[in-house]
Amino acid sequence: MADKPKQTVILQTSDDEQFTVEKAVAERSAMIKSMMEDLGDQEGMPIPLPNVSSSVLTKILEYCDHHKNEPLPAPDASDADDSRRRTSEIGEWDARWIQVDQEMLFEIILAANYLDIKPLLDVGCKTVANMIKGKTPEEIRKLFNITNDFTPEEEEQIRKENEWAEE
Amino acid sequence: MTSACGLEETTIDPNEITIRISTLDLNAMPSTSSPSLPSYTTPASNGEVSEPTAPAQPRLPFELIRKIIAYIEYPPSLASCALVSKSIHSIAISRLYTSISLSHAEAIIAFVTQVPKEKKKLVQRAYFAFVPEYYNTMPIVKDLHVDIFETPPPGGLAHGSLSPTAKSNPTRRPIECDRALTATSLHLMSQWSATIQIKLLDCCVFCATGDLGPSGFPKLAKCLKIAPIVVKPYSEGTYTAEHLH
Repeated sequence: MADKPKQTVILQTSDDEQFTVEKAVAERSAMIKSMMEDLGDQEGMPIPLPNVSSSVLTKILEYCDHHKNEPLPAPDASDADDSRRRTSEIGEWDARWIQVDQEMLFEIILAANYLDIKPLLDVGCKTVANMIKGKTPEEIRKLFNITNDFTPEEEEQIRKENEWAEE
Repeated sequence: MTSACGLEETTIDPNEITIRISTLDLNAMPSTSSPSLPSYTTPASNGEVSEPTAPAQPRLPFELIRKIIAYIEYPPSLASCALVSKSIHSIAISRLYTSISLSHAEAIIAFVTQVPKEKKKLVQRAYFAFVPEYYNTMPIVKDLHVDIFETPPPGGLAHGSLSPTAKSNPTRRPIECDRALTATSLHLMSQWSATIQIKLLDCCVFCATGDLGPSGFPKLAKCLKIAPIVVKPYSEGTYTAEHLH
């Protein structure tokens, strides 16, 4: 007996590319899952993702496909719960998968946040958190493109306050 | 009281150890739906580059930077983040001061002498670990972990640690605490004038309330199990301590 055909959904990226994706894969995104529910029976109607480019979606779909059989996080999982599970460890496959250039890494984080894929967002944030280790404040500013708004006196004061935390 | 970095208010609930920090910058934080956030869209690849018309935006929204910092466990990295900008400071400090691990005497001294009162309050639960009445009422005492070293070990921080967690007997201070206190006091003294004589009576730096007394020391809560200590100048640049039982 032939296998039941897999249900699919069409995703349309910001650069107008369309991806036909297995429903179980697309549903890793809470945002897409919710849109699919809203669309109901309108099969074949592409779901627009105006904030995600095709290159980033390709990468993210790879992640979603690998994790498609894992249980979805509870929709009401709060940040407080997340903080209890806080760890900088990343799974072996995820760590290999996220070995991308910095630009792509930030795009993945932004897209994971937009698509509401919590485990992926965690992997991205943990990766950046690990990158920060050993960086100077100036290097961290460059990483995030943040302007220093401290005066030299304020910086000196904070350095003194945090002496106890230094190596 | 406002510190140089804009930390304005801290409230502590001794049962829940809820920490609330408000800073001058919190109102300016963008929300995830703010129109000022950077676009999620990858720039078009048509080669066109538009001239920047506004100051550069951070590469990630503030809420995502907050999430990233929440995953940092390494205190020196958190200390570096605290120097990045005022808005990042508030996130990094609340993380840094609630995951405090005073791993050696110098760190304790630096903490006691340099950290402003309002920030010290962020780690009062670490101090409270040494006070029996708080010890018994702390619901999350198992989370406490303060490593104390008699002297900073030459090879690193992995030896001779004392973890005054829930496993410690709350009614009897381990002797290592007294030794650590003595060592800490001596280090502290060495930063002071060589001719000064200071008495530390019935006190313990770990039970500090955060208030500074007339000598410049924290005004200390009484700790029944710590012996009074007198620190005297002994010879040039050298100090000794004796326990007065």
